[in-house]
Amino acid sequence: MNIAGKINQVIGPVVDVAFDADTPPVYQKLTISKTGTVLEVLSHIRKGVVRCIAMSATDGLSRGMEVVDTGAQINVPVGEEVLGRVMNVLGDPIDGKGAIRSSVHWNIHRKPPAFFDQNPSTEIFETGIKVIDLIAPYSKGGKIGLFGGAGVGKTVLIMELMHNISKEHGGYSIFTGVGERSREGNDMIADMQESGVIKNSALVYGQMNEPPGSRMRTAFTGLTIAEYFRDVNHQDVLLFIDNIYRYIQAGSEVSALLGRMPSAVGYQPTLATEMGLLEERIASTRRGSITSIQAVYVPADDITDPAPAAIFTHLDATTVLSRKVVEMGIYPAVDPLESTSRILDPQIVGREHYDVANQVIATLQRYKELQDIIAILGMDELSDEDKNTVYRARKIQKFMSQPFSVSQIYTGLEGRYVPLQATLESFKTILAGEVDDLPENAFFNVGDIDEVKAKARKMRAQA
Amino acid sequence: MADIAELKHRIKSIQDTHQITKAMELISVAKMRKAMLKQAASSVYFDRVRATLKDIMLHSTDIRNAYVRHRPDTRAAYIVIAGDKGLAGAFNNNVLNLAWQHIQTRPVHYVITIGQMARSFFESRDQAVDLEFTHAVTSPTLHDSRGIMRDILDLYDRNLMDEVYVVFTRMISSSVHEPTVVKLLPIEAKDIEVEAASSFRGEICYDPSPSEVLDILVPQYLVGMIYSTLIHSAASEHAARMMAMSNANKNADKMLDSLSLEYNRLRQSAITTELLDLSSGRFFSDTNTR
Repeated sequence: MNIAGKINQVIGPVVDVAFDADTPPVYQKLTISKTGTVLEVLSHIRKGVVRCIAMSATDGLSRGMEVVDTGAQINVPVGEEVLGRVMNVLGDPIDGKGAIRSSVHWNIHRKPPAFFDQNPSTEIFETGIKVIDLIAPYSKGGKIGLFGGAGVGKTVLIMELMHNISKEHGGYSIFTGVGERSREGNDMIADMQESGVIKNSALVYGQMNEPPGSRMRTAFTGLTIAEYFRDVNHQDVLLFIDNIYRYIQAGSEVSALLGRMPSAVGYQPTLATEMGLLEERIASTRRGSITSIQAVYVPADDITDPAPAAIFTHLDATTVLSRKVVEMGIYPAVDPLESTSRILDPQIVGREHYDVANQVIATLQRYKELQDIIAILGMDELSDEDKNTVYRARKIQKFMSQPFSVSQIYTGLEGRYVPLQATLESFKTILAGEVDDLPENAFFNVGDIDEVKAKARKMRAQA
Repeated sequence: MADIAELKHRIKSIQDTHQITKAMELISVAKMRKAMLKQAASSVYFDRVRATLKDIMLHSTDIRNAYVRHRPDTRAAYIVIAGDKGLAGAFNNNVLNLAWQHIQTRPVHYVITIGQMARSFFESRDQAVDLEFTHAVTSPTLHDSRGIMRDILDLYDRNLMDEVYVVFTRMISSSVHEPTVVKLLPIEAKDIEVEAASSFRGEICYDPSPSEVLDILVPQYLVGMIYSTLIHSAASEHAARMMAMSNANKNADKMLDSLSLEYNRLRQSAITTELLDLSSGRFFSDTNTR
């Protein structure tokens, strides 16, 4: 404890510190005496010299400043005391409500659950969002990714999921804001305070204004809190991360400064390792589970970019938001042909659900294939059967839109929570052709099929 | 990037379609011309037949002919002429829908189809097709027309129907064609659309008698009507197909343009990314070994 070293070099967020005697191990937390800046050791570059990443801005640092080895890793408060609070990467409160008095602090670097402890989940987790529950159902204790480019509605969707799940399922939820807009974070805190769900939630923020060191570790802080509830209290918790891509991006910002050669598209060569370090810990065990929902930014709408591709492999269900759907004005802009789920299996979701989902996908797939033909030759050349497919597919597309509770103030439409059974019945009705006579627009921004019929009647009355 | 492969596949499939539509446009142009020539060549003779028939019906008094006599019009037969193939824009739909509407107004009706599209149209609507002539529409011949005429007359003679209508597409110009219903039997002077040929007022003497001339003229008239409706329909079909295909070609060209642009962009950005990766890697190893 209290072994002092000196700053050797400062390059942006990366600080080299030289120690005379014992060199602190990797992941050790160091503090700069004068400014209180926290550093984390990332690599040893030669005898006595360690390369660290700063957890806050490095403005005002100079060579020769004294650095103290705290003799421990970054550790954060966990347990019931963190509920209702907002903290930063270091576990310090940022909600202005004074210190978080927790008797237990955990290191943010931990091991994933052992192999035999892991418990792959086989239970569907209802979200109340039609397209998600039908096409890419989430599993309890599973890992879910929401992929999407800039401005396709990832954050709104994750907020709606939080809203629905906390209302319908209860339990603790941990929200981790990584590298997104500070304003969104602020809005969310206000919303949660208003609705009262904040008393069952813990929030951790390391937004865009923070240096890469903070954005690289914020996800770990949130995860550690969730792990405590899973491992010690044996509870089922929810972990929201918005946005996991920023974690990779922060790593890539400092990668070259740490002396690593850039890899494909300029990412860090350790991309897959870094991803694995985080994702492997988000797991469900036989005693408790973490259901995680992670937003993933897709750079330039290219889902084959190395970062989203590296995240893909870890997930149980992926919900892909697509610009093409946004352009049709449909929200949530879920692309049903790209979204997948591991549990869409007759053994798990049941034969009925599996069949309906597959028929919906087949109809949409057929429509997609026919689109080029329609564009070239026109609708007249389609057979009657194909015409039906096209009309139904268009209705299905419209029907996949849904008004959200969290966007009620923008759209003026009251949010809808559609139970899974109603979703299945509704899509079955469309597929069976029972509502072929209703106008397409009646399917837009509604809840279940009864509402479609009501809207169609209203439209007819007005016409 | 996976997108590039998918895009390439799409471009390829549109190119294939484009090739077909291009060929079909050229064929339709040639076939339409041929059909129009045929029509022009035959119309001289048949117009004359019609004119004479009308003349007799207007000016002669003593006519006893089974095909001119009016029957109580309750049982109508419809000869519906459409194409054998699709890909002709709204051509088939327009004529078939007109026929469908017309047929609904008659409580007792029989349907005689010429062309495969006509048959499948009625079959899909659960309307029984009573008689079907095949291979008559793509390039109509007098021989076909005569056969059709004989069958129809036979049915009419056996008093199975009171009226016979033809539903076909009339070619007005190469860009205007409209679906039309004409009455074939019984023959009435007001249905004959040619001007009576004679320019003088008096009664013309037909030898041996107007009735006997009529007996010969009526089958000629019917063959002419059937033949010219077939020709009109064929010419309209080719013209409609020509227009549909030329539109399709335009659409395909437009799509190919935008897809090729997208493809080139993606390819170029992949190249740029790779160059960046290479040069930054090189730059990095240079600065670190120096």
